[in-house]
Amino acid sequence: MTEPRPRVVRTGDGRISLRLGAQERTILAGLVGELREAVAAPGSAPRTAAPGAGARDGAAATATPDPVLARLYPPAFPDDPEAEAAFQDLVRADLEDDRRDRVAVVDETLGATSLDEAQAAAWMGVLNDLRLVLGTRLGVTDETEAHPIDEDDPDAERRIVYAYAGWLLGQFVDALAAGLPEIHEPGDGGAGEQS
Amino acid sequence: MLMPAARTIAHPTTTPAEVTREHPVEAPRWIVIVSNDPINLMTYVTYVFRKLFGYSQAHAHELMLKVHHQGRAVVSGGTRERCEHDVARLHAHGLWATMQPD
Repeated sequence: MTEPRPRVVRTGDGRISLRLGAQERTILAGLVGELREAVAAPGSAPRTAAPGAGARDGAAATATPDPVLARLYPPAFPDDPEAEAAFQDLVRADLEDDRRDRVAVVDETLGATSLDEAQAAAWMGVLNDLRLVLGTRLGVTDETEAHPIDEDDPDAERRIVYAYAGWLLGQFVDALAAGLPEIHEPGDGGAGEQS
Repeated sequence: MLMPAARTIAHPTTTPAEVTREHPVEAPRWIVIVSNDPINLMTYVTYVFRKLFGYSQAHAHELMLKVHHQGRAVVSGGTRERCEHDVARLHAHGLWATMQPD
């Protein structure tokens, strides 16, 4: 057994190279389709308040929210339904648009072998969203993550896909983090040369 | 707990710097809190703190560890509008962020 070579590598020209096998791209295409449906599932907040009557029943008023939507769009004010409804009115449509845009970028670049910074950021966002969707559906907890995947688990295949998404996500994070400016703050300690 | 990805960098002596990168505050002050969750990768969370708030690697890592070990951490603060903006950006990145008056 050998360690798989990294799939995601920052190259000298400020781009990020992506080496994925045909099978990986096929799996990812399927997952991206799932995510597209999940990010704007029916039951999402109304994009605009209904004209006239009670502009107050925003997303927060929904009785039993889909756990996946609840994870993708968590509350900012969990203890204040009014503030929460106002917050959702303010941001929800934009958050959905962000997610749709990222999915569209990944869709367009599923076959690419090189990404620019913005495209790589979209990939990272999509992979993280995928993990939120899969992880929520699988009921991932610290406990489930502490053990190897059980072959007899009916969810074994999904758990492997979840782990794969995490492995690939980690590579995107490393590649993108390497492009952030190195900042030193008072209190950081250390004697790092500033760059 | 946040999920460990490969490696971590130790910065043992750093005191968690109070989050006071804000302009002078007159209005009631709000704080943004990120809560722990079992899905987000540790390296991802650190990256998001660096990217969104311009924190150093050491400070972002410290905050991530605080979320990981203590269940939550204050990651930014300021006016209500400022905090709403920060929460929305954290939500766009899939982090579990809430806000409350300080």
